[in-house]
Amino acid sequence: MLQITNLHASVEGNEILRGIDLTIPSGEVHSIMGPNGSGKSTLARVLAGEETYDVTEGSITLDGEDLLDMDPDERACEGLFMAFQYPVEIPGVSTKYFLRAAVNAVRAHRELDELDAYEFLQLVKEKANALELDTSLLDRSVNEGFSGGEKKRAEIFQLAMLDPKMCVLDETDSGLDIDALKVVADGVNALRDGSRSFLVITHYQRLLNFIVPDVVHVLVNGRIARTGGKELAQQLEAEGYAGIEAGSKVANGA
Amino acid sequence: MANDSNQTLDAWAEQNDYKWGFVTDIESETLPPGLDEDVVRAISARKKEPQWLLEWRLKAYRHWLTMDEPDWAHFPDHDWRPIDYNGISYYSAPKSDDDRPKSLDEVDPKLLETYEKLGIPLEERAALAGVAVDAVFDSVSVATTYREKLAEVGVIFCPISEAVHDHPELVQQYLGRIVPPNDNFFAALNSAVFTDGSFVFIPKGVTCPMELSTYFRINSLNTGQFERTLIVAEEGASVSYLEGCTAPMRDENQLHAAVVELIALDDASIKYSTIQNWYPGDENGKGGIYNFVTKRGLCEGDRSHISWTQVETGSAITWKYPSCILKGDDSIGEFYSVALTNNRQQADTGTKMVHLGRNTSSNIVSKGISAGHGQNTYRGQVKIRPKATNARNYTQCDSMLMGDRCGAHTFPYIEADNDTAVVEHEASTSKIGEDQIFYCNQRGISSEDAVSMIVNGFCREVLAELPMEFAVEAKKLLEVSLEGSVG
Amino acid sequence: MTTDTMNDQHLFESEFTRLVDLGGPLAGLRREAYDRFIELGWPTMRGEAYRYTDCRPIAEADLQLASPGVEVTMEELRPHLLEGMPTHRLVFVNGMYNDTLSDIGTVPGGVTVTRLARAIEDKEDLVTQHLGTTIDWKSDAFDALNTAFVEDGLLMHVPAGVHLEHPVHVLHVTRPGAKPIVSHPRTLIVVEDGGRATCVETCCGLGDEPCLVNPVTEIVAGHDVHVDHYRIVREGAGTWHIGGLGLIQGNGSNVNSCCMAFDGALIRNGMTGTLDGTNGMANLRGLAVVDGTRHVDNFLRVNHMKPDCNSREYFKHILSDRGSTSFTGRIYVEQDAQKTDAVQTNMNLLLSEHARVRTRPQLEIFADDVKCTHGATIGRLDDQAAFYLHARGIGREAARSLLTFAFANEVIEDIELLPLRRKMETLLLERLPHGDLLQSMDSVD
Repeated sequence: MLQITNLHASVEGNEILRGIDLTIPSGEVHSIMGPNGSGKSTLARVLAGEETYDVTEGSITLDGEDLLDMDPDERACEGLFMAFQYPVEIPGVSTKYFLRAAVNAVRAHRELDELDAYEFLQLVKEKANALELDTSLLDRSVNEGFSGGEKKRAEIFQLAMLDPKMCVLDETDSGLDIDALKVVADGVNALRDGSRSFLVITHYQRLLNFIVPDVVHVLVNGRIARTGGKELAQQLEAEGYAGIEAGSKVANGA
Repeated sequence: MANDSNQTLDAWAEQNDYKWGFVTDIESETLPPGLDEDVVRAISARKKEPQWLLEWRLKAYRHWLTMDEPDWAHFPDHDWRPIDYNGISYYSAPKSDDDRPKSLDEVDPKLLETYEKLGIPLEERAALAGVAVDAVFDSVSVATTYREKLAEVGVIFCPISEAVHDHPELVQQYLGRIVPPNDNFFAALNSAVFTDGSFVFIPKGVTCPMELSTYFRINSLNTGQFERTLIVAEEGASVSYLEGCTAPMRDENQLHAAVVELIALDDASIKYSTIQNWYPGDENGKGGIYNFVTKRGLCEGDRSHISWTQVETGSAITWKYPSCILKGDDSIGEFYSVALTNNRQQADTGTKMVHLGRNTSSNIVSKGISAGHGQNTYRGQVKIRPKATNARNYTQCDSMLMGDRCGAHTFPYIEADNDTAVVEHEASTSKIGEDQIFYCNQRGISSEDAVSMIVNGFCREVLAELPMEFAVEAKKLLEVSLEGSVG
Repeated sequence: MTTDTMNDQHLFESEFTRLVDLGGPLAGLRREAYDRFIELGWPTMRGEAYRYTDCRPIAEADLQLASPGVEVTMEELRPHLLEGMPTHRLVFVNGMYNDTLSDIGTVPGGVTVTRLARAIEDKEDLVTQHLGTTIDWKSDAFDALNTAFVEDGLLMHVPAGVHLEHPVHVLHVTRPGAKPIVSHPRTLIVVEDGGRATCVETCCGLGDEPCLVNPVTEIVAGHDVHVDHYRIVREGAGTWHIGGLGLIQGNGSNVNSCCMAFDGALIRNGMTGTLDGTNGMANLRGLAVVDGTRHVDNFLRVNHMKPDCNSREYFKHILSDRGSTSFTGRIYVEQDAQKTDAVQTNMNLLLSEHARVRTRPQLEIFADDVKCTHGATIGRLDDQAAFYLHARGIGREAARSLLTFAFANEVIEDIELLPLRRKMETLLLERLPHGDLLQSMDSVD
């Protein structure tokens, strides 16, 4: 469903992604791991359409639609969701209000009717229960004063509410203790329905014990250096990235 | 920030494009431009005013001649064109019968068309919201609807020119008592040449059963608007009043120098809300209304309460400081403001809270939004006089800057002469972050909608003070829906 | 401009003529400044800058420059010295250098600590390059007057990379007489890239007759400089102290200036800080203890001209009797000064019925990616806190003093120079009602 071909991207003239080829079929969970500076977060943000990055070469399509041709809000309406590593605060705008605007924007794009206040609240209750999320959190301004764990859970809650087909989780596990991690993972797993796809970006293998991936890719120096099954993650946990990095250097003729 | 947010602003500004630019071509019985004692007499004569009022006007005019125009150092960026007081016509009336229309049927059809274009079809609006409208077209008032309903409870809501005839003792008792003609340059001018405005009187113990509102238009070239409004709330009375303005596109600067006086006696409360959308000038700052208004509320009685709420998005230059004199013990003054300046607009606005009585309190929330090359200044004064025991003031001034070509300034003056006073003042500056807009985008919300949402969130406290029925105009002006509908 | 001021065409003319006849490299500057002073005239309360400060007594006084030969003994000076630490000390009496009481000692190689009068001769380039560059003397009559009459004071020069270990302590002692005198001490501190220095200025009075002390201090800091500056104002009861401070700093510089105002009929501290390099920090703090019928006016302006700088303004005023204070703090942020972080706070504690407070925190912002906040509070001692202490057995008056001390201490405890901090604590306790009770409680560690 998500097709990335020979993607090159740079920021302020520095090339970070150096030719990424990646295909994620519908319903699969792929993981991207890699050392710091490998370009993991860059990949996520380029997918989401953040302006600071220049795509210099390559293509990204979602179910055949050219994403690179779309603004970030259009990509979101097309069904791409990114859970931010550091969700920003928006004081003065209540989470409920924000979410309702988002849900209705996406629905409008899909030519569905907007939800009225009652319907929206029903949806909120349903999804919040599934995630064990305290709904009073939603009366607060977006992410304002949320703890790290609350922020990450709120991201997954938004994911559940927006019903995307392609979900990119950018280091969702960073800053979480084991309990918070489990709740987030449970929330994600509950959304694995056979047609929705996930790209889980993580530095540590720990999250992948809970969100078990179908495929694991290792990103080194802006390229996918290795692809394998979930065992690859365990191997990296045991051996670190050095082996792959060295291999990657050799492959790149360094 | 430069590229993305400026583009967003342009798109957003387009959506806010001035919609109400047009002129009604009705023959006006307009006085030729110029100002001298004869003009003052002519205005008074056309309105068939009693001698005492003519004297009052003349006294104000003579005093005005001795006063200096205020110094406009506040607006260094503005290409200030001096106002030619002799180039303005001080009276303009649509051609109609001497007798004012007694019902809407009798109103000049072209006038009604004007109201249609403004989006305030009187009948529909009145029916839906139960609102009485005193519509002022240039310098003459059209009949007020729902006069009968208000009369049932003894509420007087009529044009001030009418009140002069029907309730002279009330007008004479209160006119100029809160804003004396010699108070400032524009108040003196207004006192001399005011042509109309609202008079509201709420008798003892009465809660006015509906929101009262007024719409204005400036139509003829070079016609200054000098509205005069007087609202009196007797003991235990209360009223909510909304003032909203629109004006046509013009190349000449037009002057709007209104005076609004409020007085609340014991246990009375007055809520005065303004949505101001005068023509701000084009994106190069050409034309546009100069809005210099003197608004003051006197909390005369104990436990009285006056509250000013304003959403200001128009005018080329705005200069207004709605104020409260907290004379009665336990009286309360409030000021809630959203002021938005875009393109080359300049706003210098704020409030004065003067604490005189005991146990008085004042609350100030000011939200300034600057965009384009706009300059937005809050200038407020909190004065606690020596006998004002236990006075309380809380002030919050927040500025939001959109783009790097505008300015936001805060100049409060806080003066406390009583040691039991408690004063807290806070101000902060912020912007809409690119990361915030990107976050909204990633949730499917367009950049324009994101900006609107965040601006609305920024202004929430103030918008919540607007009477619900009239928040619609605020929505249009700030381009977002109010939060009250969710949850 | 003329409507805002009081003009006196013949003011100081004869004295100025004498100075002009001296010639020298500052002749042109002095002339310009004098003309400007005449043009501006004494400030009035109709202008914004002195809106709350009445300069009429100064304008009406028949001021003259002091005559030389006024004596001050070491015993009289001792209460103002810093105990237990070596300093490089210069002492001026009524504006004139006193060799006997001064003790500059040895300074590290390359460093200059000397009389300004000598520096004007020996280090002409240094002086002419920097003098008058940090303050807008063309806008303020007192700064212009000081610049017109600049003759002597302190010059400190620290070359690149040098740390001046011991503080320089300059004392401006005023002994007024029957006729009101005026002095214009000038301090110029120039610290080159990477340098570090500390300067303490004490302005003290011996005598209660009216007089005008008009000191101006300028701090020019290069890149990566650290300067700590203190000004202690303990003038005579009849003194009008109108002080100016100007500061300009380069990239990565950290300048802290603290002003403690304790005594003097009228004290005005005009401060202008200009952040003219990136990643700089300007920290202006002050404490004013205002009793009797005294008036203290803290008037600040911090200009953010470049991006990524921080500034902090933190001023606390304690008012009792019929004391009055005024605070004006403007944070100005240029269009390109993005990522500015500026915080300004003025807190006023009222201890009596007739105290009067005027406060004007101001923001003038032309850049959008900034964090600027200001706050001002006015109030009395917290009744709840006082009751709590009282309920714990602390007498009512002692409780009030304790709370007042706590209020002031936030400014004092940030004083890096320990002997100075101790001195200020002691001074504060002496001034507080029932401070002696606190001293006996040993509440100061």
